[in-house]
Amino acid sequence: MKSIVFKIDSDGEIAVEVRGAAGADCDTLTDPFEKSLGILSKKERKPEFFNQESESETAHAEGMGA
Amino acid sequence: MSHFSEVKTKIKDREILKKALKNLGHEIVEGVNSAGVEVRGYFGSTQEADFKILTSTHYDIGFKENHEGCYELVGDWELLPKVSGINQEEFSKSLKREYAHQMIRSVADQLGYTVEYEGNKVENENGEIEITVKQWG
Repeated sequence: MKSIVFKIDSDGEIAVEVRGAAGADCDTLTDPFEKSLGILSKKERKPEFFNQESESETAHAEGMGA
Repeated sequence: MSHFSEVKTKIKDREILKKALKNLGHEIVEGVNSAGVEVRGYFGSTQEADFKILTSTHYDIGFKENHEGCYELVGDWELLPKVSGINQEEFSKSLKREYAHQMIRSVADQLGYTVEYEGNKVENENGEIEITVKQWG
C-alpha cells in the first residue's frame, strides 16, 4: 500500500512524506498534489534513491498575502 | 523507502478558494455573468476584484487573479483590522491553510485515494492539519 502524509502548518506550508513507494515512483505519486498546491520548496530523498540518479530540486516563490 | 518534500501554497483555483472561504464561515459575493465586483473601502471608495466576501462591516475583502494566475487580496487593510478585527496576515495564513486542505482532498478524490485524518482529528498535537491519503497497489 502506498500512502502520502501531508502536514499543513499554521502558515499554510505543507510537508509531504511518501511511504511505501520506491525510487522515482515517489515523484510520480506526489507530482499531481505538489503541482496543484503550489511551489515545491524543498525535496529530500533517502540515500537509496541516489544510487539510481543524482538530483536535487529547489525553487522559491512568493505566496499570497502580506 | 520514503521521501520528503515541502510545498509553499499558491492560491490558483477559484473553486477551491471559494470552498475554503465558505468553510471558514465567509459569505461569497460574485458578479453576474462572471463580471467583477466592487470591494468597499474607506468613505465609499471602491476597488475592482473578481469576487469578494462580506465582513460584518461596511468594508469587504476582494480576491483578484494576478498575471501569474494567483489570487491576491484586495481590501482596505488599514481599516479592516480596526473595524472588523480581521488582520491581513492572520487571514491570509488561515486561508492558505484551508485552501491547501481542500486542494489535497480534491486531488485525492480525483485520483481515487482514500483520505484519513490522524486519530480522526483534523489537527495533530503540533497544531498542524495532518492528512494521510492511501492507495492500494
